[in-house]
Amino acid sequence: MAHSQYKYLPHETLDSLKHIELVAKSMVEGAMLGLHRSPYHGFSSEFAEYRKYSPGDSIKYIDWKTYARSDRYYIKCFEEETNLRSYIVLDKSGSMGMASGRPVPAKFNYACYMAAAFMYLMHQQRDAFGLFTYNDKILDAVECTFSRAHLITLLKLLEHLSPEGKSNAGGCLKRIAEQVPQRSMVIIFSDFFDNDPEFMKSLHHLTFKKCEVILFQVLNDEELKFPYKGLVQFEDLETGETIDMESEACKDFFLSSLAQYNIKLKNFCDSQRISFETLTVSTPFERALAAYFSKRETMF
Amino acid sequence: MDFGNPIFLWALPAVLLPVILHLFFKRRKIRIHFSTLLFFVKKERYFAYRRKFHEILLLTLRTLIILLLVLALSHIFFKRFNFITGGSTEAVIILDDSMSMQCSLSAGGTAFDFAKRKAEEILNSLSGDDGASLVLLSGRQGISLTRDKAEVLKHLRQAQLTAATGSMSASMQSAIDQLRKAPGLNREIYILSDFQKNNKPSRAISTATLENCRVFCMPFNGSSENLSVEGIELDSTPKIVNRTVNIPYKIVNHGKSAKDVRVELEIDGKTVQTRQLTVKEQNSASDRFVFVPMRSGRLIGCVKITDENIPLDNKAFFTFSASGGINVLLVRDMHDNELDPFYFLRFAIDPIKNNPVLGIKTETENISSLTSERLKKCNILWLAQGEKLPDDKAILIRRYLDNGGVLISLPLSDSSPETYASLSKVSNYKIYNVYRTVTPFNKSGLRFNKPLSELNDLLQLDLIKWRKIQQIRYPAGNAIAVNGEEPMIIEQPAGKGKWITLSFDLRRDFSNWPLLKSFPVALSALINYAAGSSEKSLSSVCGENIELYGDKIGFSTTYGRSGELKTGNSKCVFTENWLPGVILFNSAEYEAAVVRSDNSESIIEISDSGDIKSFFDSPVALLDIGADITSQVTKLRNGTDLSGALLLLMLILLATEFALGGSPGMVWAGIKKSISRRNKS
Repeated sequence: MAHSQYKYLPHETLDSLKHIELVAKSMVEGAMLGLHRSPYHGFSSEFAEYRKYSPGDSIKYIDWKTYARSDRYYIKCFEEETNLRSYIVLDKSGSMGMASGRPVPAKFNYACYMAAAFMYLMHQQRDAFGLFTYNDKILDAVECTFSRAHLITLLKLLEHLSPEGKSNAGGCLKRIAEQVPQRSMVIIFSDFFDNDPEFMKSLHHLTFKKCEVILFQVLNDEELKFPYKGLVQFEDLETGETIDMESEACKDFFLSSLAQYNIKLKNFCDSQRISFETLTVSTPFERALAAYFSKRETMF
Repeated sequence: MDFGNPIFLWALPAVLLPVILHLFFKRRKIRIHFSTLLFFVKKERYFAYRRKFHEILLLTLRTLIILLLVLALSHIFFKRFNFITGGSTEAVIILDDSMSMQCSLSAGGTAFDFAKRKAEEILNSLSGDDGASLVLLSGRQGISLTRDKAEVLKHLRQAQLTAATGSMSASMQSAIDQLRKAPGLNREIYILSDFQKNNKPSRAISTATLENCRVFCMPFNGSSENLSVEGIELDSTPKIVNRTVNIPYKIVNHGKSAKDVRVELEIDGKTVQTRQLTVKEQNSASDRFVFVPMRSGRLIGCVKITDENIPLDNKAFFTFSASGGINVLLVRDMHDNELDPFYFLRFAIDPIKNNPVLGIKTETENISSLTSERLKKCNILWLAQGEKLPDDKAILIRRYLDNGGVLISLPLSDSSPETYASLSKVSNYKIYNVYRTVTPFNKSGLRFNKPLSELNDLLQLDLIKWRKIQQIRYPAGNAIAVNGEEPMIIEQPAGKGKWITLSFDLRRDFSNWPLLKSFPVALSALINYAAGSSEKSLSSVCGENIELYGDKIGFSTTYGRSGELKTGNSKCVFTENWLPGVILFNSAEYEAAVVRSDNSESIIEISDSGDIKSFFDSPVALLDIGADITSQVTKLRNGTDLSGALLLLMLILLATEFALGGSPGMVWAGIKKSISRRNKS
């Protein structure tokens, strides 16, 4: 990886990711030893608690010092540390293809850069990672592994993806939630422009399975600032539907509607202990990534 | 459309200026591929539409303003009809002289008199080179197109109302035919009528074949309240002195309120009976006068009412000829000297000699002494023949029948099919010899058919016992009486008269009928029926031609006209029957004609302006009869100057354009204001 030849993982990214660790907020279930806390108490270096001795326990874990003080047998328990299973979910619907006129990447490209960075980070931590892409149905579903070959495969796959079709986030996330194991990490990149109650239910399903869910909302400057003037015909990238608008007349209404939508989504995420981050494509993704991880560190 | 200053029409391309400017400064629409339309509300589109509509409205206003300015400067005239200024005009005046034009107008006088005054106005509006003609709607003689307007005026003043109806189609066709031949460049038809619904043509009248033809309609609406007496139909029974005559009548109220009316029966100019009736609105009342003629000869009478509106339909005339009695000439076979075949018949119908109690007088004659003079005096010739009828007598009888005489024949014991064969031979087989052989007939009863079927209930006809009959057939006749399928008395037309044939004699050889009580009743009824058609008058409606046959036919009418008709080949046509009344003829086969008014003209149903226009399939102008005709016609000929109206309209549009705000900035400010107001709310 010293000389990256992958589109979505340039050299600058590799440098900026050197000192970052992605630690799961909650306990995760993994098969190998790793950075992350496991719900299974084992016998490792991280002390967890004492518990009364029960017949059958190995006597080598009896804390004799405590016995000397209290005249009772206590077993010394340690927290087990394991590796993380994380899934990156990428919205590949037409709306993600909205590009601005300036030389900044389209929303989808930006999401791919972010996804590649996360995959690299996982690989570095020897965490397993998988990939889902969807529009109105699940298009790619790659299972979790942590090998280098797996990383290369996924990076190559990202390069061949392009946004198209209508979005059915609710239905697709529901199926993804059914597929992912408990206590996984699910990182979703999308614009989340789905006025679909199923979408909320799917997120709830994921949290019910004790997964850590991170939503990255990728937006354009045009969507956030609505800089249009005069008579504009807007064409929906997903449905092809058009609408003629006096842009000055509808700007305020559009922006306030979008803000209200995002607030509603954020409130829902907060209630479900889901991380929700809005990213702008004009912000370099390395910076956005660094900002996110610094913010994340404060959360623990 | 005509233009006073057509040079300004060159400025018409200027109307494209706003369109060009609009296209030049038109805002271009940007197309943006956007992630979602979720946050756009459909109603926000309203602003885009409003702005677009505003732009189109302003464009239209500006284009119209320039167009109206150009048209106003070019001095535009609106003409409903083509009129060639400087060309002569040919005018046909169609004057409705039908009976309904006698209705009273609210201003006083009749519609016809007012229409004549208006027609004079039209004639006065024409210049010296113009031609004029007068067509009368009833079909009465008018005057063809002429430059001599004094002659037209004379005809107009002489025009009289008729009790006939009129044909709008025929009058228009006459007018079109005249105009087609006329040299004038402008053609005008003036129709002065009440435009009754019954005059509406079945198909719209077209003047499309005539160039530069204008139709002007002048409707005259009078009172719709009217009472009329419908034509009187007397029954066909013979009218005999001192015997009652029924005169039925029917009074119709065409108005919208009930009316009390005095009905009078007038005979020979004297009122003989009166009656008071109430006739409900839109209804009729029927009754009859019973009159007893006191003298023989032709009587002329009428049933009349008093009603101010349309007096022409207030009288219904009738006429009949009253005789002293029915003269029946009984003629018998000269060889039959022993038995009188009319013995029982004479006792039945004329029992007391020289005192015809039943109104029937009989005289007996031998066939050998029968002359034409004798035949002229009788109403019915009753012939009892045993042997073959001589040819000379057959010719005599045939002439009698040709002139409307009635022959009743009966067989005798020695009759054969040859007995009356000569009668059909001399008639060139137009009269059928219906007699066959004498055969035994052992049946009973007799049944009369119409019109004598009332006798079946009255008389005991089943008591008649038949012994034999001379069989008859009826190839072209009518069976008056039958026994089962067997015809017993038949009737066939013969010339203008008829031949009634009995299959039995009137003695006791053939049946026992002469001894029964039903015999005199049935035979006097048969004689009355046979003599019924002797009335020599006909009925006609005003305006219908009457065909007459005869030489040197003289006529006199109840309304004072008389003269002699021109005949050709012993035939002539009486055409001047325009008023209701009775016309008496001399030396014709008809002695009189009753002329009645046309009932459809008594119903005053006036068409409204829409209906009047539907009379024609090309545009017509309705003139106001209350206003000056000349000024109305001049205005229609010259057209209306629209410049002032167009300038006014242009100013209104200009003000609207200013009010709407010519600058888009102002419009945008308006839109923003409405957005902020909405957001606040």
